[in-house]
Amino acid sequence: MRSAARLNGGRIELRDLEKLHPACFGWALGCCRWNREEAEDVLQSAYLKVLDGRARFDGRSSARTWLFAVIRRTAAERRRRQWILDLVPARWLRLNPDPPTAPDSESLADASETSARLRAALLKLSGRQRDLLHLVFYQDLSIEEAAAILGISVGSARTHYHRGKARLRQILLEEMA
Amino acid sequence: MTLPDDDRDLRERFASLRREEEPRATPLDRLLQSAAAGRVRRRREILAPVFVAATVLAALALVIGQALYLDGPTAPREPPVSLAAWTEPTAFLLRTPGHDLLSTVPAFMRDMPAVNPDAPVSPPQSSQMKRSPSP
Repeated sequence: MRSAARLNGGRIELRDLEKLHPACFGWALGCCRWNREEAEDVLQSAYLKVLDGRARFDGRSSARTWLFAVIRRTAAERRRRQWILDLVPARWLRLNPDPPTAPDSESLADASETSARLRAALLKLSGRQRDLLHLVFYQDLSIEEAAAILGISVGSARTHYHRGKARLRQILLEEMA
Repeated sequence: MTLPDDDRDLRERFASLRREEEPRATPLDRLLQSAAAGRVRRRREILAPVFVAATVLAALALVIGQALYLDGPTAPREPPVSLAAWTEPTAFLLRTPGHDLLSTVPAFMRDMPAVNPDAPVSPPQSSQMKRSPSP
């Protein structure tokens, strides 16, 4: 889907963010393994980058693709920062308790059984396969767009897509049997 | 990209997941309002351990520095060597045999008794004795 985001000196306006926000939230949840608190944190940081102009939209792709790439990068940065904070001395000195890494109880309580099963199966895939399937099936993007967001070649994306799809089906079948 | 029909099951599952998740997304306004507070909290979260670690290191450096330089015994110092008195430690390597001949001005026939009867009879110098006889 090609977004109708307007360019304002390389910036995306708040109105465009509002339109894209539900999809971005879903993508952030996927990037953060359905940890809602973490996803909100990542989205906040990503939106601030966009609104402050630290992340500039150059118009080479659709606004949605670009925004998804910013969210993915922000999630990766957060994971790296978390890894440093999880080192033993940092953990001793930390002010806040460890955030949960599994999907939080609020997310799971309201989820239907089908969705919960799908999430559980997705969590068993590799990160790249999970991201690709999420972008293609959940966000209705093409493999080419998904490859651009993930920063990998289209050929590599196709391989991950097919393997991930087969593995997801296998996991879902095993759980049903 | 057009997805093949055999992916319909997966598409339906993902669509169901999306239908559940998207309406429950945190409103954008709320996210942006709490962004400033979150930014301060994150900065404090990162800076607090760094600040504490820096303080501990500085205190440790101060204690070690005091122990080494203030309370420790002072080593006896050698008197400074004058620059004029200094000689190269490898100067002897440049001294060639017979270098004393080159550093003095020769006085021909002054010390020979046959020419000057007043000249004191003295034993020949070591360097002269070492010289090989001329052909």
